Order: sequence, then C-alpha cells, then structure tokens
Amino acid sequence: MPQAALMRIEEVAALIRQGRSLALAGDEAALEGLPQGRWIGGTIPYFMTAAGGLSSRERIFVHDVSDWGAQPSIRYYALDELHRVARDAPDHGVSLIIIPAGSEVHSAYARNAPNYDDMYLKPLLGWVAGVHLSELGQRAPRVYDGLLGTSVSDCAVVMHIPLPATRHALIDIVNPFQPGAGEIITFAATGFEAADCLIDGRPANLADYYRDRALDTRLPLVADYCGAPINVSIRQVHYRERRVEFYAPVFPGVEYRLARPLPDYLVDFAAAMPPAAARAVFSCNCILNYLYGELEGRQTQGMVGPFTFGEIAYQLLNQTLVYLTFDDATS
Amino acid sequence: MKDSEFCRHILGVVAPWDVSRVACDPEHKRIDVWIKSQQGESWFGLRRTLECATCGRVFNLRQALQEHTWQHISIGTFKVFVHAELPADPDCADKPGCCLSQPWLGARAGALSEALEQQIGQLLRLRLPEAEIARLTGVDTGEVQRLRSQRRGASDAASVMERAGEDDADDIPPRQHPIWARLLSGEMDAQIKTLSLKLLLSRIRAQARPDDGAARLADIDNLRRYFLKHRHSLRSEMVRIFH
Repeated sequence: MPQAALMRIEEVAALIRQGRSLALAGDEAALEGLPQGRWIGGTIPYFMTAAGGLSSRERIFVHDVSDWGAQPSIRYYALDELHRVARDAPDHGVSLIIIPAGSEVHSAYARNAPNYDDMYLKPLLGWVAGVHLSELGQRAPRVYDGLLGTSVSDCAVVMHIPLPATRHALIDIVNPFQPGAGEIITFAATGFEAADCLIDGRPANLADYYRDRALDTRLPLVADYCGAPINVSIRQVHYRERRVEFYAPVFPGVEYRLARPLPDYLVDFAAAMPPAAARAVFSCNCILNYLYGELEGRQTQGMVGPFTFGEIAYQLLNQTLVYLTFDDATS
Repeated sequence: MKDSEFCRHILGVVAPWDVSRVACDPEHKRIDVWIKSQQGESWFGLRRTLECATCGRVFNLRQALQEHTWQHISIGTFKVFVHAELPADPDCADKPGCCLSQPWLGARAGALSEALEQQIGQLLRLRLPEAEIARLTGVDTGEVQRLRSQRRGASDAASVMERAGEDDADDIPPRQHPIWARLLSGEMDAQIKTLSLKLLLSRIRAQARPDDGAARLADIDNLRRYFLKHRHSLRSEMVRIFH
C-alpha cells in the first residue's frame, strides 16, 4: 500500500482499524464517517493525485505515517495554547499541523508563528483546512482528532511524531514564483491587509498601486528570505476603500515585490522542483495554484497530497508546495 | 520629584508600564513599588485576548490577573519589593523586547526580580560564599542556595544538550566570535540551502535591533542553538560559514 494516496472511505476506515497512524484530508462528509483511531484530519475536497488534480467529496487523501517513527501523539491547540506547538514537539521528530481557515487560530498562527518558542528548531509542517469553493462562507473548515473522535473549527490539530535518532526530517518548498523586477514594497506593521505602504521608499497606497498599473492580482507578492522565495497572495483589492487583503500576513522589515508572471505554471513548477522532492513522504499544494495554474487533470511532477487553503512549512505560506523528506543516516 | 517619578527613573520603568504607588518603611528599611500598565485594567482585563505589541504572542485573558511580588536590587540600605499584576500565562516573557520581559519582573513562582537574580548569578560566578552573597544583596541565604543549585542544573543540561550531537561543539564558534555578527548582518553570503535556517535568519534580520546589545546576544544564541541542533544536516553551510 502506498504511504500517500487518495482512497475510498472504507479503505481508510480499514487502515484506522488496523491501528495505522494517518494524516487525512477530505470533505467533511467523508471524514465524519470514519472510526476513532490514531489519525488527524482536516476538511478539503481538492487533491493532487498521480492521475492529476481533481476534486472529490467521496475520497480521502491519506498520508500513512505509521512507519515514520515512534507512535505519534495527537492534540488540539486552542488559541491561547498555540504558541506552545513547537515547544511541545518531540526533541527529535516531526510535527504535522492542520489549522481551520478563517479561524482565530489561523490568524494568530499566521502572524505569530515566526516568534514561537523553538520555531525553526524542530520540523513542523502542515496545511490550512478549507471547504469546497461553492461553500465558501457557508460552512466552516474543520479539523479532526481521531483519537477523541471529535472535530472543531476553532483549534489547530497537531500530530507529534518522534523519529529514530538516525532519521532526520527535512522540510522544503517548491515555489515557481520569483520576485519580479518591479518596485520594492514594504509595510510598517504585520497584517492580513494593508493600505499604506512604502513603494521604493516613497509613501503610497497599495490599492492605488494595483489600480494605476492594472496589476494581476493572481500573482503573489514575493519576498526573498535568504534565498527562499516566500509568497503573500492577494485575496482582494478593494479599490474604492483603497486597501488590499492578503491570504497571509505581510511583515515589517521584509521587502516584497510583485511576482514575475508564469506563462505556464507546470513548466515553471517542474523547473523549480529540486531532485530531492521526488523522495517526498508528505506534500501539499495551494488551492490557488490548482485554480490559477489550471491543474485539474494535470499531474504535478509526481507530487501528491491535498490542495489547501494555506501551506505550513514552519510558518504560513501561500501559493507554494510544501514537502517533507527523510535523511536516513546509515549508522 | 515625586516618589513614583523617582522610582520610575531608578527602576527603568517604561511604557506600557508605569509606577502607580510607592510606600517607604524607614523602620524596616523597605520600599514597596507597585507597577501597573498605563492603560490600567483595559490593557489586560477587558479583551478576551491580548496580543503582545512587541513579540506578537497572544494571551488568554479570561483568567484572572495575579499580583506577584519580587524582591529587586536594593537602593542603598533599603530593600526594594516590586508588585505587579500579570496575566496567568505569560510565556513570551523570556523574549527580548517583550513587554513582559522587564528587569524588575521575575518568574511567576519566583521571589526575586530578573535583575537581582542576574546580580546574584554574577556573584556566584565569582565563587563568593553564599552567606556573603546574601549579605551583599539583602536576600535570604536559602534563595542564594536555590539559585546556585538551579544554575548548576542548567549548566549540566546545557552540557548534555551540547554533547548530544555526533561530536563536540568545536566546529561551531563561540557566541563571541565575529562570524555571528557578519551572518546576522547579511554581510556574509552564506548560500544557505536549508529552509528552516533561511526562515530563521530572515526573521532575526527583519526584527534586528542593532542598538540593543542584549537582544543581539539573544539572536546569536538562538542562531548558535540552531546550528548545535542541526549540525548533522548543515555540513555544507557550516563549511562555507565557519571555515
């Protein structure tokens, strides 16, 4: 059985009953029917599969983590506990986190995760749960603790997995977007929306900037984090109110540029994918790449997993594929 | 100058904090200082959560505030005691620059302010007898003994942590080495391959306060701790950076 695959509900239930440890992604109706067991899950009905991108409410994407290391622990993190997530992680292991989109924990994690204790010291990755796009604003994304047999929409769920001493978890990203040659945009404060900013050091309004240049809002703002291109995606430009909403916060002290356009997402994706990604044991990609990259029915270089409302490689990312590989020492 | 203004200056109390009351007891050579947030109850008490303006940590404010008292560094022959109300779960207090990280505050369960603990720590490093340290600082001998055993435990834990790698820390320079400043400033092109190091270094650079020596040392310690923990997967970076 593959360790990462899209499965029918009854197949997943059988794995749970066998005592396998699973990280699941699926529509609420599919996840609700699963038995109690050592699994976590989040709602999302969009998937990267070996057959290409697809949407399904009947199937569940399974990452079977049973053989990664020791038996995982599972717990919810409420808003006031979230800052402990990396500190609680095993000293040598990897932690998978799923956060419901639009919740207070989503906002708090996005804004504050870079400053959490032990952040970046212990491998922490995951994704943001969402809903079918036809149900936006009607249903709340949910996350599941399979051990408790419950789901919530106001906490993050985390699976902490201790690893053997000889196995090291490596988290990386594939982001075909690169900063364009345009102006440098900076912000004075952390936020999911902005009006005032500095453009090449001069005070400006970001919505005006988009309007005056007729900029493509499907392109993220990209910052260079010591060589890693980190995106902030545009949720909406409110031209009349002269403000811009983002899917992840912008941070002060960080220089952003509008991304260079990608003529074909998959071509650039393939070019950006490092060889190590072929050994990925876990991955997730952004729903915006599924939509803007027109990935329905198209394969993503063998990478499989859910299309999500946000990707987490330590901190919240946008329009990025996140993946995990293991470095197994021989001694 | 009013007593409260005098104490604000001498203790280094800055916004969002302020001295609300001072009581002096000459008979027992004791000064009590009450410190509150400038916004009073509204800063902590009305909203369900508080987002620390400096480090961004979110606190649960549904729990009651607790008043704590810590002995602080003496003024002349007078012992000083600081009283302050804090939220129950202030886990970001150890972050440099956090509004809950102040030299006149101490650990929730502790009896001494951070500054006084540091002063005693310096005296312990000089290997002075516990009774002498207690006399110099006006602290009970029992507190000095507690700090000595606590420091010994922390030192042992740090040694264990640093030995936990495949070999010793000879391949990672000490915190005083100028390479750390060059790495933090971006002066050195480290050609980093590892995502977590790229993100950590970027965060440190974005939040850097070059004029704050203590914060800078904390940044170096944070970065050095990262290298100690991840040396197995950072071979190529370490060769480029340290050699």
